[in-house]
Amino acid sequence: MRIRDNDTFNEKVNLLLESAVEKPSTRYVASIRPSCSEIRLKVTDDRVCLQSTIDKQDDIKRFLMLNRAMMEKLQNRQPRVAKPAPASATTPPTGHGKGHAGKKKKKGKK
Amino acid sequence: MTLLDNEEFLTRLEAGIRANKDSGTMFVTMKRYSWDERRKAKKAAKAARAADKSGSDVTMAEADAPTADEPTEGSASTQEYPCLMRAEYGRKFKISTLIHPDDTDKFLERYAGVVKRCADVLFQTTAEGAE
Repeated sequence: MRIRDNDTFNEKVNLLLESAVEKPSTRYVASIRPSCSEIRLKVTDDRVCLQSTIDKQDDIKRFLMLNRAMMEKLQNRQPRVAKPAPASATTPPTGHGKGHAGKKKKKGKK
Repeated sequence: MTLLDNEEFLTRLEAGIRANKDSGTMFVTMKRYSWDERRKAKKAAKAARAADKSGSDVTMAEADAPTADEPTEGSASTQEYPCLMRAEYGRKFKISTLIHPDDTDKFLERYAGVVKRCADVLFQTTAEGAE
């Protein structure tokens, strides 16, 4: 099924992946044809086949966004939790506080 | 099919697109790589069936192991899989790579760079036609 409208294509792809992402035959194919100046997109599970075409340079952004969405769905990627920032290394060491820690007094020679 | 690391795959993909710009089609396929998980499930199911036939005691791990037909309930929603990406042009140019979930962002950034650099090659006909 070739779909011209981008929103319809994205919607149908999402529906297909929800039902068939676990099948080993589910795949996303991009056919890059420089001689015809187009990229043909196909998402299929060997039962349903959804196709779309990119023939303008302005639509490359849409192609890249679709790549990202497809890869994340195929991997079942979970949201990454940001790690808390490590404690600063400049905390002063605890101990008996001596004001002249680190300073050595020179003893004069008699 | 040559399995490469991510960087090498992208380098060769860009070279392949530029080299074959006059004719033919480059097929880039993306699939979930679930071979390891299915293989483990089959082995566990086989061990459980063998234990049943012999009449020996089945350990809790074997009894609770998922079969090939039964997906795991708790892990099905959170299990992450690598993504297998293949690029083919004719019979001689066939390369592939595995993208792990942790490397996805980095790989997609580099892939976007490759596509943008090759955009002038991909859409060269429309640019010349417009002139």
